[in-house]
Amino acid sequence: MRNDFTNKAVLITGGTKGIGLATGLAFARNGAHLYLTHRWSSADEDEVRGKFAAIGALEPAIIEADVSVDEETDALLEIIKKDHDCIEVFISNVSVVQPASGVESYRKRSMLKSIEYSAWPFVSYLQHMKKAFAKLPRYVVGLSSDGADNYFAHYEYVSTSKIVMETLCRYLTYHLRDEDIRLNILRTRNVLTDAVDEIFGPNYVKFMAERAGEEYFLYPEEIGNAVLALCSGMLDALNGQMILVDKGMAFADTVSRTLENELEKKTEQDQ
Amino acid sequence: MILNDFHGKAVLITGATKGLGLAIGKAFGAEGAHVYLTHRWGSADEDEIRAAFAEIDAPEPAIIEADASNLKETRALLETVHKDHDAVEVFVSNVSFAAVNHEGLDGLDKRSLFKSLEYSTWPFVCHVQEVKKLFGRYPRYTLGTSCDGPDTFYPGYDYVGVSKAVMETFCKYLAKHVFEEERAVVNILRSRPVSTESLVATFGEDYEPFLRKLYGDDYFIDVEQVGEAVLALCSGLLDAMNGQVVLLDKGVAFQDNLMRLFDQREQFGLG
Repeated sequence: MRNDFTNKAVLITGGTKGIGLATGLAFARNGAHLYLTHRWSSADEDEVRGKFAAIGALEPAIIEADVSVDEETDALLEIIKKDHDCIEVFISNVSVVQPASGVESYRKRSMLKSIEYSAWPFVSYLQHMKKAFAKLPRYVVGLSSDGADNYFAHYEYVSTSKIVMETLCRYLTYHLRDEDIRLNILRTRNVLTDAVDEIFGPNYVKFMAERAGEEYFLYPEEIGNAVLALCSGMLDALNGQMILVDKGMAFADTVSRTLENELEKKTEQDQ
Repeated sequence: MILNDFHGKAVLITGATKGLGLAIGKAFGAEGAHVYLTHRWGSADEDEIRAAFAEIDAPEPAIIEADASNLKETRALLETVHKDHDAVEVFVSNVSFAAVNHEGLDGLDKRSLFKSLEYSTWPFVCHVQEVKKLFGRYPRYTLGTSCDGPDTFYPGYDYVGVSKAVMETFCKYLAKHVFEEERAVVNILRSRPVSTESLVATFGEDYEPFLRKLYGDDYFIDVEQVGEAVLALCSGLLDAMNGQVVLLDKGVAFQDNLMRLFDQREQFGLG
């Protein structure tokens, strides 16, 4: 039941950084041929290739493709088709959203744009793959977060686009019930990527480490391994599910717990 | 692909000489683990189990009679494990024994509820406590097997649903404590109908053929798939998952409703 990924095509959108890149490396370690997409020349290709070479993996194909442009999707699939009859694994990782700041700032256009970039590619890539290869991938994983269940500041468009992707994922499991395909969502939070400082500012990591505890940080490699597990063959009966990989943080992330920690610290200091 | 090496490691599974528990045991046995399988009231055909392990080149399992609800027997069981091992790597709480209620509101009584909790919920907590006491540390991986009974109506399933819901809630609390203390993890694997002896015992002879007729063979998952899924959760690939409830059901629960049946009425001869 364990899969052999040797020379199998694995496609990851937004695959040149953070979680996408770490996921690529996890599959590459198991022999897969990676296709990593990015946009606007945002990838340092030599650095990415260096990381694959360092673990003795096949050189990945790094391709510029905007997930919201159908022609670019077709061109990308044509490139893959030159070397592969089908795509074994598709990881929908790209997410491009705008920050929101209160009710008055909400714009329909912002919401729809976010959905176009962060949710729709999950569906449109599968449609295009079916046309190009006459076959769907055996594994599809969409990267998400628990933003739809929790309030995160400025996260409206992220949360709404992710929940659109998640709902479409579940409906697709019904439509594709006769195909050899499993579609699942991996939700995560608090991942330490290079983008964290950029998104939340320089004090975020320190704040979280002091209050939640460093043990609750997640690292891109851990998420990469989790995605690999979903596609390993060991979880083939898993379909249409949303899995939260967060070390248990979401459950414990309450002010009550923060207060408990503060009181414990105070008691220690008093002693 | 599995990151952990289970050779010589102790894996303890309650209610493990049949069905799901046995399949989980074999999955770990195939990875070289020293598996302890518990049962009650001489319900195991020990020779058959040993032969099944020998067939897959797994180390001979220890088959031990121990009532999971009896503290003395739990302690004696763990003493036996302790003779050969310094730690319990994996603990799978699989035992479940709940009353069946077919009498509606009048059929519910507190004694049946408490009995069900005592046999199906508390062993999950108690074994973790006792492992910590005797070995000085928690199992690195604790896993409870559950079902979607807390979310979905199954006839007669009142006490099962409640016992599993309580176990799942304890899972989340335990996950917080054992992760912060020792970076150990606790999760729940829910599976939808698996064709086993206990399915017939709970729902009767006609249940499985009826569902195969009105859903298709895909309604059921194989016990081997559950074994593989538990192994995946303990493989090292999913170490960042903690306090989660994962549903293994091939996507069936999402589609299991009358609207779906109406949509497919011709296929199922329901005109």
